[in-house]
Amino acid sequence: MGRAGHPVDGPAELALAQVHVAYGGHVAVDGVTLRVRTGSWTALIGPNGAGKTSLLHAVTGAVPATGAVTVNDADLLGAHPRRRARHVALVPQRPVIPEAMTVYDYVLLGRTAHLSYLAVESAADLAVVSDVLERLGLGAFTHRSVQSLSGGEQQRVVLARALAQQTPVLLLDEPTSALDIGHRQHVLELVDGLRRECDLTVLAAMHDLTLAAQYADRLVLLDGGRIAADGTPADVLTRRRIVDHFDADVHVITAPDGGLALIPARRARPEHG
Amino acid sequence: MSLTAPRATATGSGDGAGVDDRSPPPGRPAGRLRAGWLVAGVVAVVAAAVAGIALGPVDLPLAGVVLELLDRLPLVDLPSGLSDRDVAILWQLRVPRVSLGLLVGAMLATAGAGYQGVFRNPLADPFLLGIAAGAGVGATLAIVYGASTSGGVIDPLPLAAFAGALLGVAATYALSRSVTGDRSAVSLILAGVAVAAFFTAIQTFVQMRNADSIRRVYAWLFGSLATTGWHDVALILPYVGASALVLVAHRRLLDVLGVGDREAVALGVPVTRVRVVVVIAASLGTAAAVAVSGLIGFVGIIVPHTVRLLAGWSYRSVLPLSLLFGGAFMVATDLIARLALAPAEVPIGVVTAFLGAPFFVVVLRHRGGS
Repeated sequence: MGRAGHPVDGPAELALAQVHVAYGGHVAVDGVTLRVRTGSWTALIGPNGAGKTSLLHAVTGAVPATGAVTVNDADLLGAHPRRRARHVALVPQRPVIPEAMTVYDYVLLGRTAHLSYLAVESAADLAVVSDVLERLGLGAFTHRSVQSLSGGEQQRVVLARALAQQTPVLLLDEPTSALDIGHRQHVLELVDGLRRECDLTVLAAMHDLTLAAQYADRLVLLDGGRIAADGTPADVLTRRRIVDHFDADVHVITAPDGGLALIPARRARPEHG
Repeated sequence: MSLTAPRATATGSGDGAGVDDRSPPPGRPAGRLRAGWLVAGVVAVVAAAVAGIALGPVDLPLAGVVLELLDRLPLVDLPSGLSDRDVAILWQLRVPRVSLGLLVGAMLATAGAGYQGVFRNPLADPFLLGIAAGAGVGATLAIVYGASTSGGVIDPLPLAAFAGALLGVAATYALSRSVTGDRSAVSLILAGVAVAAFFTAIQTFVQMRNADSIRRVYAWLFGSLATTGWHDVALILPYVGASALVLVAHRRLLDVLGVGDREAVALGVPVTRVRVVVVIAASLGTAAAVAVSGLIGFVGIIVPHTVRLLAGWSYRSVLPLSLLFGGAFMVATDLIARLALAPAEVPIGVVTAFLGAPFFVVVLRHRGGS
């Protein structure tokens, strides 16, 4: 059994080919093809309703999809949910927190994919959970109910559950939406550090374009279910593109450490006082 | 840069040790079944059973009852001092009736817990989901139009009840999904109430056309554990046993379903398959229980929710404990039913409704809005 976070079967590449998702007549994802190289971080960006969440759900199997989703060339779409969950783990945007469930039991849910249908957890599974809780600084909360924690703490707990799955691919759906600036940085630094250490392949839907530019190696811009741009942050984040796809005007500047940042371009302010 | 340095919060001690000494030792799930509750459940079953056997229109001496029961154990020979008449009452009336009560109560409680788990609905119960009523129609049609219970290799009665039960749950589920928009827990129950009313009407009609006495219809509609001999117990034992086994085996999976279908699939659970298996198992057991004891409502709500209050949220506790406390509860309410207006018997469904309706309102107010 590998250490917490470390994929049991080693690092892997995620590839999507012509993935198509439709809900009752409405096409959410329209033929998306992309590849996330082993150990890299790809951010899915795009306006609301672009299909980012639907795409992630297609990878986990939560919604029916056509096309191909492979991890190291192993097909996931036709696989049993348990096998799929050993290859990809999702940190959802709005996780359902069962009432009264403790942090320990919540993270233990992450071991589901490693247990056969009616089996109960083994000592090895419990060890993985303890390990993950320690490494994410959640040891003090082990027996607290998840609902009693703050937003930032809950986000770390949900991340812990995904890490307990020990998958080579980690999916995140808007991991920082509900967090303040400090917690945003902590969570993203945490994920980046784990990525480097465990060679995780990360695909994250991200609202904040500046943070996406800072942490991701590649950006994939989704609009109306289709890929509108795919490249490095410098390639994808142009003023023109932001205006076209987000209906927002920005200045794209280079931060002192070389990363990109987007500043909203306001209309001329009226004189105060 | 340190990966694991969280911002200091007011509560955490930061050293990683669990601080609450009421909690289980670090490294063990909080949701597991505690031995103390298991023992309490067994004690409840034994106490209820002994009381149910000893008490009644003819009170049997307690010591005699215990000795007579122990005498039946292999290698044990204890003269109980009971008269032949008392021994006959005990073995032909009381013990079968108490055994039936244990089986029916255990089944209805466990099935209720199972439905609550797969439908993620705290108000789910075989009675309120129209499943029991469907089983009633199936059983009634089998009795009135089908083969009698004394021929053939397999008694068709529980199977006909099972078909009716499945029809009931399918109708309830389809109806609640077709009512657009409202995904709250209440809509499933509303659909179940409608289905139950419909099936009960059919059943009452069939029974009245074919029965010479309204008393029998009445007895069926409110349930009864009155039984002579071991026929009914032997009939339902395999179904209840198999159903209970399947349901308790799924306890961990029902906990995982608590995070919703999408997350459960992402965690690796074949959600639809689990739902189908649990519903079929719970409906089979419920159907068998209804086939012999009629419609006894609210057990599937009262027992699991009380267990949750006492022993925690996890189905690892709720399922096995509902089995034990459900049986004890049924025997205890049957005792009330037999003694309250002795020598007349209050139909047991009246007692459970009397206890259950206020309980239902409390649960509805507390959880039904979600």
